[in-house]
Amino acid sequence: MIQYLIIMLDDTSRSFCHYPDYKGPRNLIPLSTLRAGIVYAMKENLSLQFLYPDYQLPKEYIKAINKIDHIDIAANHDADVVICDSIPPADAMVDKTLVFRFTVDALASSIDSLCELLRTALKVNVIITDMAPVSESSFLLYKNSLRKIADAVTELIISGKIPQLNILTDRINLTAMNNCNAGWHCVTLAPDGCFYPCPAFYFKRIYSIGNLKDGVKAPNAQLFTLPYAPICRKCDAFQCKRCVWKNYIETGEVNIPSHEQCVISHLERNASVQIIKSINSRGFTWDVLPINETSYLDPISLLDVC
Amino acid sequence: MELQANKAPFREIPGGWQAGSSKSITFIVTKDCQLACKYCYLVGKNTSERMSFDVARSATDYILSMEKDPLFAFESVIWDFIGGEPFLEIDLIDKICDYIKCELFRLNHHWFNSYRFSFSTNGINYASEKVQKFIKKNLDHLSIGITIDGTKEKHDLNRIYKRQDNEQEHGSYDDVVKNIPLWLSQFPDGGTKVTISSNDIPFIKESVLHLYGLGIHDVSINCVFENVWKDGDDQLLEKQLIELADTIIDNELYKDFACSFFSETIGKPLDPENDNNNWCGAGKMLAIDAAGNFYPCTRFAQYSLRNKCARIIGNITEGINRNKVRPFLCLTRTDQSRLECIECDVASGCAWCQGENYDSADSDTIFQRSTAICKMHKARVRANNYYWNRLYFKENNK
Ligand code: SF4
Ligand code: SF4
Repeated sequence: MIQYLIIMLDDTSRSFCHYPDYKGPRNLIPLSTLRAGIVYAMKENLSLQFLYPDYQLPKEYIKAINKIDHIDIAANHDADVVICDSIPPADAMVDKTLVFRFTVDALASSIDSLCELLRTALKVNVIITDMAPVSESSFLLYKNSLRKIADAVTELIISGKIPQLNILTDRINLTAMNNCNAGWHCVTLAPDGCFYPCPAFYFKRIYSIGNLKDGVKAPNAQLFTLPYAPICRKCDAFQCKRCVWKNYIETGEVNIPSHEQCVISHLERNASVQIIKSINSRGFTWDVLPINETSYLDPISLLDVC
Repeated sequence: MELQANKAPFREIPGGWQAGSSKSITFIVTKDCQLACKYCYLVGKNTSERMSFDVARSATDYILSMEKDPLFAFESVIWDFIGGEPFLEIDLIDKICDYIKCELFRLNHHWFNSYRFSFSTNGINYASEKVQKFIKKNLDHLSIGITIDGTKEKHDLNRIYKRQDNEQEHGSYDDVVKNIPLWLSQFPDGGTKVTISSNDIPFIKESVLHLYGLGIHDVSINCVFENVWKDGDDQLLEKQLIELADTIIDNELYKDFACSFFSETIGKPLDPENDNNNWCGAGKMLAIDAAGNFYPCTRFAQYSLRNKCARIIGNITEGINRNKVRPFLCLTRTDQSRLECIECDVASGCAWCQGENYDSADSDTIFQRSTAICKMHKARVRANNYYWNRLYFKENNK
């Protein structure tokens, strides 16, 4: 069931996720479409999230947006979810929710400053943007980065501060899958007045799933759900984004992840296991559920296929 | 030819050579054909896309280099050549087969002792000198099926020659049937595949009996998977099959001849966990076209698709893209079926074509099963039940 509506205010609304920023011309959502989208969300009981471009919106737009409870996602330090192009000073980010879009290489060279932020921010979300195809050396680099960050997270926890970093602590805190769920729990209204599973699908003009007049009508909507994802439903990398857009691009199907997505998520999962182990081995107890070690990095091996 | 029966209880359609333990590799050698069959699913046939030997050689080199890879680790291999009409490219095929044999030997590949070359032909060129020379050279490693739809009337209804705008429709029956005795002398167990579309239903009974009369013992028939069925077609099919059942049983033809419409295993419910396999081997098979692109089966190449883009899973230079193969490996019956199909009381034997599923799906997915065939399957099940009830009664009361 759909619970969230993301409204893209412009084609150049900043990416908060795996898809790249759009580099084309501005295309502001028509005011009437914005208003209709807000009314649609109210009638369908959907939580609203607005995705902002880098320029100042006209006053009438701000007025329309501020008439309803919502979350702002923008590359602006006042937003509810701040998209960060570079690492800001930790002191300026107290209790903020931050999004960093990193390549594997960029993450490796930002580890220290990222760990600083974990002391002050409410939540840090790291999105790996070059998820596939990934070489073995990138996997290794990511694994090493995760290990270093996991060490810092462990120290913070032992010192009494429990940080939130999606790629390491989400798996520890979750007891079931908590994926992006685009097309299932969440849809996007684009400036063209159509619904898409997420902004990435709008940019490619693939998989439009309805419009404001007819509502959300996704063909084969079940394929966006976990029970129809044959590999993911067997998996316990609960923190995985399970990015349906990447799935579609890499494998041709929204319900089938690439090998790379699975390996990356399992490297994260395994690093989470290490955090719990390190804390326990140092004589501290942390009231979390244990996570089993696995022999695989890609859960397709749990299926009886070659 | 007289119909004769032997003493066996009943004949069954044999499983394919090394079924389940062979990798199927298909070369789409040409997209051309002498015929323009009305039910042909190949929407993009043309005379220009012919495979070059270089492409075939590179594909072979790649495939043989993957001997230990799980995607290729099968006991045996079937090298399948299709078109259009494959025998239009007999020179190329001969050269490819020679190359494959030499390479299997040179590499000491485990397939050297376990390979087949397989063809499905319209039969028109079957007796030509070049085709015959090829057959004699490779006889021990060949399977060839000739497609003949039944009586002249039924066959010529669909299997007609290509023609210019003002040319008269011209069926191919006479040119095919004359080659059947030669084919059966070389492949005594040769079977034929018959495809039924809406207009063919009234001819089913006489066509199957006609094929038996030609000496073909195994007739595999299926209704096309496309959404072509009209109101009342299911009743017509049931009636035809019951008449066919009566004739087969009254004349005890079941002892010596088989028709795939009648099978003991169809028409039962299927367990969602234990009977959950995909119908076909798409993804475990590999098809290669003239451009050197790889497909999970030929039905995913562009010339087979009406509505969707081709599903390319690699090519001869970069090899297989494993991410593109993953959806095919994961396909199960229940993941692509609606609840109605999962809970169906007569689900077993209800077939689907993965390519047609994809082509007719409401979105770009292989996970939506086309059910255009539903009422035809149910009609077949009713006739099939009738057939076995009559047959068991007859055999038990002798
Ligand atoms: S599908 Fe989800 S995870 Fe993927 S880019 Fe879209 S919002 Fe992000
Ligand atoms: S790790 Fe792979 S199988 Fe597990 S949820 Fe993520 S994408 Fe799905």
